Amino acid sequence: MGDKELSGGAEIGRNRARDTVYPVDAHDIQKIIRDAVKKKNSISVYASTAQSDVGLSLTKMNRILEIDSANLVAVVEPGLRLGDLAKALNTEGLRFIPAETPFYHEKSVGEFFYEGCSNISSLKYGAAKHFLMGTEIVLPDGQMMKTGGKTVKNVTGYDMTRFMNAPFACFGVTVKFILKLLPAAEAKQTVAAGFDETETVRGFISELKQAKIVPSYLLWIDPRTQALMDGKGNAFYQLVFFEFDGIREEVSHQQEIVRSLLTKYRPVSPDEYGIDIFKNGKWKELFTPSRGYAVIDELKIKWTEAFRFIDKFYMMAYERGIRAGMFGQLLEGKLNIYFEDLSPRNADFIKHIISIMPAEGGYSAGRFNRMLGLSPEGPLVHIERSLKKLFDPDDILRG
Amino acid sequence: MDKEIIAQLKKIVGSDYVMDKLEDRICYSFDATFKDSCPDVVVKPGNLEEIIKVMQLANRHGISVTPRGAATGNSGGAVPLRGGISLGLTRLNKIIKIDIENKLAIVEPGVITDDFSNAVNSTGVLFYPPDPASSKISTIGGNVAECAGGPRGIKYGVTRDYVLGLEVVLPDGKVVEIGNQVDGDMSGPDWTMLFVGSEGTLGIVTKIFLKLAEKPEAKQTLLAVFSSLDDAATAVTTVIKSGTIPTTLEIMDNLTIRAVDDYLKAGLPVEAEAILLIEVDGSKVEVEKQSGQVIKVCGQCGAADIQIAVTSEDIDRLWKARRAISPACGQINPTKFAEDATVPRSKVPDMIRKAKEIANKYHIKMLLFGHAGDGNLHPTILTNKHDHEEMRRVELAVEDLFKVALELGGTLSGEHGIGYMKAPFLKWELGEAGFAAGQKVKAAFDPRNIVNSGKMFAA
Amino acid sequence: MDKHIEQWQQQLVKCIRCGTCRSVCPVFQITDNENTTARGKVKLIEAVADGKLELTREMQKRLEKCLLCKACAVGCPSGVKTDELFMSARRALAENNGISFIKKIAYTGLTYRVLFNLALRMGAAFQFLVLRDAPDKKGKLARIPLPAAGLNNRRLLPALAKKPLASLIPRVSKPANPRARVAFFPGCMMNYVYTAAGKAVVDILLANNVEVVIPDNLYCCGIMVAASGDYGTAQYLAACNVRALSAEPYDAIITGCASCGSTLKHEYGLIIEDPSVRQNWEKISGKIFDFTQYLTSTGYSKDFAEIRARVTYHDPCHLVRGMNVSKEPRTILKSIPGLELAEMKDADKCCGCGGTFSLAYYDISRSINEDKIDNVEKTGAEVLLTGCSGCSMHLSDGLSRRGSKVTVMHTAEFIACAYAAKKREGP
Repeated sequence: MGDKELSGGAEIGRNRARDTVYPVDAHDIQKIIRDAVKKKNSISVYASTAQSDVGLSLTKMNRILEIDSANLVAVVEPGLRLGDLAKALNTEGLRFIPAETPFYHEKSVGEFFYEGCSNISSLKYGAAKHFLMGTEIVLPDGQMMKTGGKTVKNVTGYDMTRFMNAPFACFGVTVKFILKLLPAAEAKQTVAAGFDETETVRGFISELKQAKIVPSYLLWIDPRTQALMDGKGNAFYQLVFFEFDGIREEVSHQQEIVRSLLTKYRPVSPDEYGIDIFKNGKWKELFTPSRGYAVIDELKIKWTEAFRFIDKFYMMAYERGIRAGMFGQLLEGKLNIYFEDLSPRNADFIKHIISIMPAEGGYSAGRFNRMLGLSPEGPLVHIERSLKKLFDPDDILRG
Repeated sequence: MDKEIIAQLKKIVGSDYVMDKLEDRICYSFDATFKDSCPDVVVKPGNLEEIIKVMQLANRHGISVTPRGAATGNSGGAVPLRGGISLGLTRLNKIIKIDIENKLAIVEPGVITDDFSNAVNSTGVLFYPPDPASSKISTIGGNVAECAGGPRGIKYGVTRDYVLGLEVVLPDGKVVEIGNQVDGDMSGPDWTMLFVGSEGTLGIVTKIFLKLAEKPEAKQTLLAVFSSLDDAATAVTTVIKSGTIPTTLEIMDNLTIRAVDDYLKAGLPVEAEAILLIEVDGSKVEVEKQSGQVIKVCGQCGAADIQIAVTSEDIDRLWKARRAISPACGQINPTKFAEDATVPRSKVPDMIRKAKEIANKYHIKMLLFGHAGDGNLHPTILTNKHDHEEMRRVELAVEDLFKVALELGGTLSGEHGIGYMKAPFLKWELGEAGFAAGQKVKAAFDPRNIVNSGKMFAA
Repeated sequence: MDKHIEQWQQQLVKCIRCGTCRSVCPVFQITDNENTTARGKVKLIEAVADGKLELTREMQKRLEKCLLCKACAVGCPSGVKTDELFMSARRALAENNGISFIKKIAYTGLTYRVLFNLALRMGAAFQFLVLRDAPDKKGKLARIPLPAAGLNNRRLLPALAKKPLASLIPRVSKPANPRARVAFFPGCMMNYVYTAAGKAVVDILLANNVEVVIPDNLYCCGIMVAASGDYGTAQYLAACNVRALSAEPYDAIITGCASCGSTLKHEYGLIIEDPSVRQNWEKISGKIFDFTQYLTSTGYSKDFAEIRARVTYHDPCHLVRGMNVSKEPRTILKSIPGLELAEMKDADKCCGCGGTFSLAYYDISRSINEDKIDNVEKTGAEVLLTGCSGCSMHLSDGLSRRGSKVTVMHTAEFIACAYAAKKREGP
């Protein structure tokens, strides 16, 4: 069950289908699906672990259909790469927040929502799923369905926009995304700082909070992660990346405060200790490593419990002889783990961490298990199965 | 209802909290809409265990259950159309926790929105953005069921943007926690988002985990006066296009201004064709900049006058006027239909124009006001429910309003929900496939159709 | 009955069931039951009008579970006159189901004016049989609990005054140079219980050079009777009072008790049906004022002694919402030098008495009062002032239960004290 050496997100795009097809529009997909229904073939789009007869690659459906600045929406196709979207929007003075950071620039819009990728900037702007305003979907029977629309407020019926586009949902193939945009920020300031210990990181971030600085994102990467990414094993500092944005006056005002805090804490800057990953841009693969393995969007724990949990994690890893690092959006309780590979020992360790989350006062999102094709448990499983049966009675869509 | 069932219910919640006399059932037969329907019994559980037992009983016997908060909804959500049990949830009224460090709150469904909002405000650093007009009376549970909005929606979003997770009792009595208390993101179906706005048709919400927002340092309120409704509507989109997103952006047409002024005698500009009530918030620097931007844009769009509210009395005065629209309407005609067909912001001028045409076509009195900034207008028809002939014209007018909103790329409801009021029109917007999808969701959760049946997709 | 329904429809059609009444109703805030909200009661009345419900005893009980504090009438965005509607409904219910035997006896007793006066004088003499002094000497407690009469044995009651008001003041009190001649309607409580307050009103008017006449043949104003639905008796009492108050010409008719004032000035408009009585009432209703209202509108002497004290003021429902009087008492108090008037939170929220409500629903009445007492104590005031006998009684009960040091006084008593103290000081 599942590949022994599955590596992070890169494998997601390549599915294990017998044949791969490249539709150019929704009509194509409708035809393919109706065909599959007739022939009782199975289809997979994004999932790599699903065995299926037909693989749907949406790479050719990569257009920006509309940029509506009055309504602050963009209508795009699933195959559009987030990096391309960000570029196009920036020329209009607009931005789609989840696409602003480089971590997911290679991902397509469809992949991004299918995998439930976190919005790096959710600290200031909210979760990625709230930037989805509407979609058009081809259902497993070939019919087209619309959800949501361009209106900011919509309470007509159930929230099918988020339901049909939830992480690992396979109730339909989304062929159009209506994305919520915001005006581009007038000014931005990015800071990278290396601290000696987690305690110092905690102190620094607490003071940032007290000073009412709300960064658009705040990302922490521990030395072990840096070492594993670098491959050479050199790293001594707890790295914190953060950015604040807004109008020029506000940004310079915040810059002042941050400067004084940095003077107080005296962190090291990454240039100074020259880790290769930052020099050659490999850090962009942090969430989607081509050689390592990252458990992302899985572990959630409140900010006030985070450091206690991190210490416990290191201790457990040490006890089991596991080499792993941690990184993530600390202030939002999103903690990720970095491994050099997904060996069976590492996989077991992941499963163990997942199992202790509730006792630690945290949560595990169930992402890792779903990616491995393992079912969740609980009273909702039965409802999920009913829904799957109702939407896809012939089990055409495998993910 | 079977005497045996009543006896069992009394055993579960105590006889003080079971009401089956007609005189009491009548008091629980309605909400703020026009259709009434008596439940067979009113049950007011005091905790999760009692709710579980009631649902198990109901499920065993196929008894209809209608969850109820303050019953102030505008779409019929709390009306027990199929009789059965009216499940009053107001005894679950504790604010369990407000966690400042983690910006999280845990509340029970019966907490009144304003009570919660005030409690969060008193932390001094956080606030709870969703501000539906009914917040003094409605409950958080009701807000979650209808995905309530409010004037702050344009910048801060609506209830669903703040729900991280829920504890729910499913129709068969099983309890489950969905979402989480950290970021609200879990893999697999987004159950939390399905429940928010589900209008009590999928289960009973017994606990709500809410995200809180940072309280802005400063805010400013402005009033822009226009001699043309079109200009005001255009100013709405132009402000947004210029890169400024105000906290609220409300519009009032001349009829509305006059109605409010007659009622309050507040010295509103009754000669104006339209006014925009705008609020901006953020740091002091941001507020100054946004305020300047708003003034510039309104001026460019032809505003005859722009007033800035400086003192807190001024601010209160302006918001009092906005909140007085509802009572002011009551003084004019006894029966009020407040619609909330919503369109994309850029179509607000068209929507306003078409709404006025519809009012003329059917010879009815219609006030136009609402959250222009997010396209959620409230065309409000004033009539008398005993004038059957006029009521017929009103019904046709309301249908036309829906059609127009949909034609302009909008939606049937921005805030009030579907309930039974708009259920007949669901297919217009969702199409056959979309409607069938809604039915599937309902069927998966509630195959026996006992929870709030007669609403939405099970109407 | 059809006549009733027609009248009701005018109000019923306005109710949009928005639920705003839930946020202002003191009873609902305790019971959390929709059968006590204004819109719930409106719905019951609508059900009767639509033929879906009979005027049952159960419905009557729910209509009785209301303070008639008028908070819903004032707070209603659609302007439904809930207080009038509920009074009318109680009338229809009483006509259909009758009222309790005890009440019927008591109300009938009110119509025998001479007998009533005699009974209360005797009652004052013999009250010790049923009542004993409260430990803090601030009132009386029932010797045996009589829950049916709302006499829980911890409930503080005022004593019947040893001497009724009529024995304390002459029929006519004339100052040296009267600037006006008014009638004073003391009401039952001021006549037989809070006589000091009654005398204080007269003293205040005298201090302002106003001639005060206590007209002959005054009856109980009848509000409790009308609120129970016994319009027959209430109309009789109203007619008697209108006749008594019209017997001579007066510049104004002054009341000191909020309930009496509101009843004479407004509720009689709902109660009186006889056209000639109505005509006479309309001639005098415009002249009926609460004493604070009369003083602030015609001018009053500011010859007060300095009183260094912190006081707070409770707005009786019948003054603030019944007669639109709330600024006036405060204006006068603020002109007493040295006096600090500390406003309590929700000063205009009902104290929980509601006349007969506190008899039938003492527990709810007490809970509502607890909130009020909390607010009073938070002001740190030494004296609580108010302009209604019912409120005085209920607030005293609440304060005494807490062993509070706060004293309740009628606004008139306090103002009269300020005048008298100044006079004693000399020129």
